[in-house]
Amino acid sequence: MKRQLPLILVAVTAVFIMAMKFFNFGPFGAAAITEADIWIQVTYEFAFLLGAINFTLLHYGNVSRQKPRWIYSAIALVAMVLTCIITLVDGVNGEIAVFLYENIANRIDSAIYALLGFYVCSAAYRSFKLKNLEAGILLVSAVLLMLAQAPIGDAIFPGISKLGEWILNVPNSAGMRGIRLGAGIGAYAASIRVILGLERSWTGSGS
Amino acid sequence: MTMTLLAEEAPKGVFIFAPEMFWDCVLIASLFFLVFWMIQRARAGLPIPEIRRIAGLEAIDEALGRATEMGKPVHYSPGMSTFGSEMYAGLAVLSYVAKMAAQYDTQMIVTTRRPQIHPVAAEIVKQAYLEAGRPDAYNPDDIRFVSEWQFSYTAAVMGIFQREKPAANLMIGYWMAEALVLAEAGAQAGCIQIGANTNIFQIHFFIVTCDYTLIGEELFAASAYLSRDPMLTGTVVAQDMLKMVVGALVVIGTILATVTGSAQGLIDFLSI
Repeated sequence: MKRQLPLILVAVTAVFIMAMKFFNFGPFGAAAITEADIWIQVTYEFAFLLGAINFTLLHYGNVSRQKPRWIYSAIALVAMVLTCIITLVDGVNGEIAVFLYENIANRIDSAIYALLGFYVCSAAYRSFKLKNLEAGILLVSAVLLMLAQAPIGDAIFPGISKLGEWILNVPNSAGMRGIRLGAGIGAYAASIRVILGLERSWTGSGS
Repeated sequence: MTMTLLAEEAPKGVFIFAPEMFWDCVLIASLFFLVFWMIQRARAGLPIPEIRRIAGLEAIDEALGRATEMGKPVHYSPGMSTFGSEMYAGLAVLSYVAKMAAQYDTQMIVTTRRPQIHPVAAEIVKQAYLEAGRPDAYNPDDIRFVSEWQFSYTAAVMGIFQREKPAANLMIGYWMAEALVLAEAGAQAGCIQIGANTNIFQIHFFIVTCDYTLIGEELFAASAYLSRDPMLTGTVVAQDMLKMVVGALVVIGTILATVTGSAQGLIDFLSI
């Protein structure tokens, strides 16, 4: 029953939501969907607690067993506890809480995001090595597109910007739409597998 | 992927059949019908067409073998999304990889970004170790909820790559801007990498940095491919049949647009 109950719940909920989406049940339908929204939010928030417990246990274990680099675990724990206390006392929109969010959390987040710029270069270096036909096509397309995007491209090779536009709008768009189409139908099929209980690995029982 | 607010998407108006949902309903109904048909064929023992070879999925065994030989861990992440088709696909592959890791006695580190995914991932890995007859080897500390913040998660996983030096990195799910940062960090740490993504704006990053990439729908075929279960394989065949129908519509639209100058009639018809 432990394995069956989630499957039944998922099937019933999915059929209910599909029915509400495809057919119009008037005020009842709208109210039912609003209620489902609330349930999703509540479940989501409750699950967050599980994550926080795992985070605490993992880092507490690192600190108490003095594992290598345990000091970082201690910092993570102190940061979490302090942020919780400050937010509870000061409020979500309180001055200190907002300061912590905007001047520490947001800044660190942006710094990691900024690494993308450097990684694009190293990834480009690796991918543009002319090792096979596909890499060759990628290299030629990339060089053409870079020239097409830069003002100097048209100055050296007049009309290259038109070629760049064509590469982006025709072969590139066709490929992207093909992937999107396949992925969309694949997602439908995957959802049906879950609804029908054919795909059960998420319950921990294997397919 | 943000949570969908269902109420905003609820059909409005006084129609019994929700307006503009006709073809969506036909599409889903057709897929249900095809899936049932394939399931019946599988149950009756009738032949089901085979799925073509998917190099990225074949390489999972190679990646785990490499990690075992090197005595290093395997890192697995089911992606950045919350529960949805990509996450279910990622968790299905996790189940397979965890069983293999348990059999090979290889350490497996699983990182999750979503708190609600964490207990599910932990349960899957625990069950896999149990089924492999090695419940003692299961270490709950290796199943880690890192952070819900996208780049905090990214930074933490990059740290794991540098400190714990996994021999294999499997990123199977839905990925966003962190795709390149993580895959590049994995490549620099010397991991053999298998990536899977349905996000068309990020797939190319996996293609250039990972050794193997599952593109789009290949992710959804993974559980059927790995399990070799005829019923699951049948659902993939059903999805391919529907894809052929949609492909035929694309061809008809292209011919109409080329010959008559516009395929608006077909577009209007499909917008009913």
